[in-house]
Amino acid sequence: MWATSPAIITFKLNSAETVERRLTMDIQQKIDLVTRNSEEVVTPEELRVLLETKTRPKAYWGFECSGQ
Amino acid sequence: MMHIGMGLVCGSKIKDMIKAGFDFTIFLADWHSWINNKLGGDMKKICTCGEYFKHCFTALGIKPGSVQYVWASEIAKNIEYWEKVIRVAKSATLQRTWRSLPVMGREMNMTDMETAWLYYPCMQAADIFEMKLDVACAGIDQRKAHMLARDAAEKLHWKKPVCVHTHLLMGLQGPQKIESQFDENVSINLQISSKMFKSIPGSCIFIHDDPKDVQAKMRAAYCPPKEAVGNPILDFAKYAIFTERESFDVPRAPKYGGPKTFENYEDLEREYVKGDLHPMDLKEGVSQALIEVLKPVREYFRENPEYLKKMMEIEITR
Repeated sequence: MWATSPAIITFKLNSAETVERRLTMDIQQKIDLVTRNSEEVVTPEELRVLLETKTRPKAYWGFECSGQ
Repeated sequence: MMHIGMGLVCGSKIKDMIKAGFDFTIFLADWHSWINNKLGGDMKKICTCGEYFKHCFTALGIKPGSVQYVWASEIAKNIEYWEKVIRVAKSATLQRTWRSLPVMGREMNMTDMETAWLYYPCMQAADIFEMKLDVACAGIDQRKAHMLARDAAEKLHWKKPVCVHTHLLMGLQGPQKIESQFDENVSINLQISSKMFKSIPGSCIFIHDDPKDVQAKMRAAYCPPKEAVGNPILDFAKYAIFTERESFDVPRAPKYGGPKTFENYEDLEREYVKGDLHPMDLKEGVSQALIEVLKPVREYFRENPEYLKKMMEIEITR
């Protein structure tokens, strides 16, 4: 008998796979993703240290709610 | 309405950040919009717009579960937030805050202004500290607010945010004569002055535009032959197409060389500057690529038209 439904197991498998993929991405790949096509990064060194020390750093983008 | 500058440039960077493992927040700055008199300062319209943006980001492929949405009005409920706003305001001179007005889309050295506009950059800095963020992402026009935040963090011994600033996508009208002063840096000032502005008719392509409208707007767009600098069409290719696609096809009649596929932006630019790619063919290629990239957005809003309809009903005033 399944203790949990197949749907939940599938979800857990997918989440685990995503987490694993994130963990196997190295620091340089993450830096490349963050900085690609950017106009400016303040500062690249601080970004590197952050990615080396924190597994799930917090970021945001703020938007005014307007037509422009 | 969301234009491709916001949808594709911001959207693609947000997706990059999520892929790189960031715990990402999309902050809907309703209070800031009110202070900046967006949508007539009408909070109901501002709220509708925020909800519409959530739908836009979902339509652009940013899955709701992969990102958090936080409204400014949520953090404005906390007394600790306003304490941070005051601490930031006490750490910066009036002059410095005043010179940050370009983050609101206002020119530098404005004198005919509301007092409340001065709260805005301080609030923007306090937002970052209240949400305990490691990285603040924004268009390059927001850098003054971010530098204010970093300087405040230094003085207050708070965590300095790392800042990632993106390019401002050029409007279809091309580069503007610099009569406006948004930044002391000439290049940044030009980017800000030339960006997509809803208030300039024909300058924007919206993410849910009909393919016919995308084509028509592109055909009428500024596209100087053999020039890469100040060329909105090449700007779109670099920042809106190649960020979403590995390659890009230019349809072209056999007598002009036949269709061509470009694997990267550098090859495209080189060919165009040499004169081997005609502006009309470049426009057609970028037009078709944009239409294809935006297909999921049109499909999404066909299935979920409610908030798009509400936005169309709202009269947009600055």
